[in-house]
Amino acid sequence: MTRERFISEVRGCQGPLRRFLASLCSGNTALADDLAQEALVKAYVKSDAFSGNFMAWIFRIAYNCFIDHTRRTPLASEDIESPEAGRITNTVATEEAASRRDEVQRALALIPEKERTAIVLHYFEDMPAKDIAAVMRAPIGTVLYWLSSGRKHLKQHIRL
Amino acid sequence: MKEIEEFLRENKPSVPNGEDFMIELNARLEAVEKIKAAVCAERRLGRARLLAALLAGLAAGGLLMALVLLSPTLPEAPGWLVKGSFWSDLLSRVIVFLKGWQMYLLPAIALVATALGLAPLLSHPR
Repeated sequence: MTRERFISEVRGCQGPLRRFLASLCSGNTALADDLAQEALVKAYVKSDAFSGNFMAWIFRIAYNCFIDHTRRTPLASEDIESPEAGRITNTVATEEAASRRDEVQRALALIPEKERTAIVLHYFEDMPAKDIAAVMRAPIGTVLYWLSSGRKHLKQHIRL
Repeated sequence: MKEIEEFLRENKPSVPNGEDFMIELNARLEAVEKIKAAVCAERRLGRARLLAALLAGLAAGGLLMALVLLSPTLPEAPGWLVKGSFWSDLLSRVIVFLKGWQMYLLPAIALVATALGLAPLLSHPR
């Protein structure tokens, strides 16, 4: 794949990709952008062998980068309460909406990583369970279970 | 459960503008391309060196074999050499050749060994 074509494909999915990673990184957009850059460089290096759904492929590589990163340096629990947390909500118009989004971000940081990933992909990126299963390399049944238990766990941390 | 689903969908986080991100990505991909090109050039050079070494080896081997075959046989063959056989004849010529050319051959071998030892240092000075 040429660099121009790769860049044009990335232009269409960089927003969702960065939002996905930022949600996994408890709202730390700087870390999310670093991981996204790492994932996209890896994808570009392997792009000659790529065929199929570009977005799902990029998300899978990005998810693997996130997993590798958390294995090397687990996300600190302070990140959840740090000013970095919720930074991705800066562009929100009203304070109330900003606070709701902060609440979502904090609640997401409190649930298990697999559930968080499935929830973020499904509700923020509108990805069907089949694609989530491909990104997370898990059976669809397991993804549906993570979605269900994720919702239950989130309900304990979000005031509706 | 519907409430939580709606709540999540309505409160998707947003990320800052992606222009700086794309500029940085473009710079990184450019660097990757430079590295790829350098690796390709290094591989090509390595293949060329290998081919040159192979040709030089074949030429040197052919020359040595020619010189050996042009050498006379031993005037008095030792008892362990079976007279008249092809291999004994060849061995006899090799012995004469080595005796006659040893003052040139040993420095040549030393020179080749030194060159082979220095080659990696010269191609990667660091």
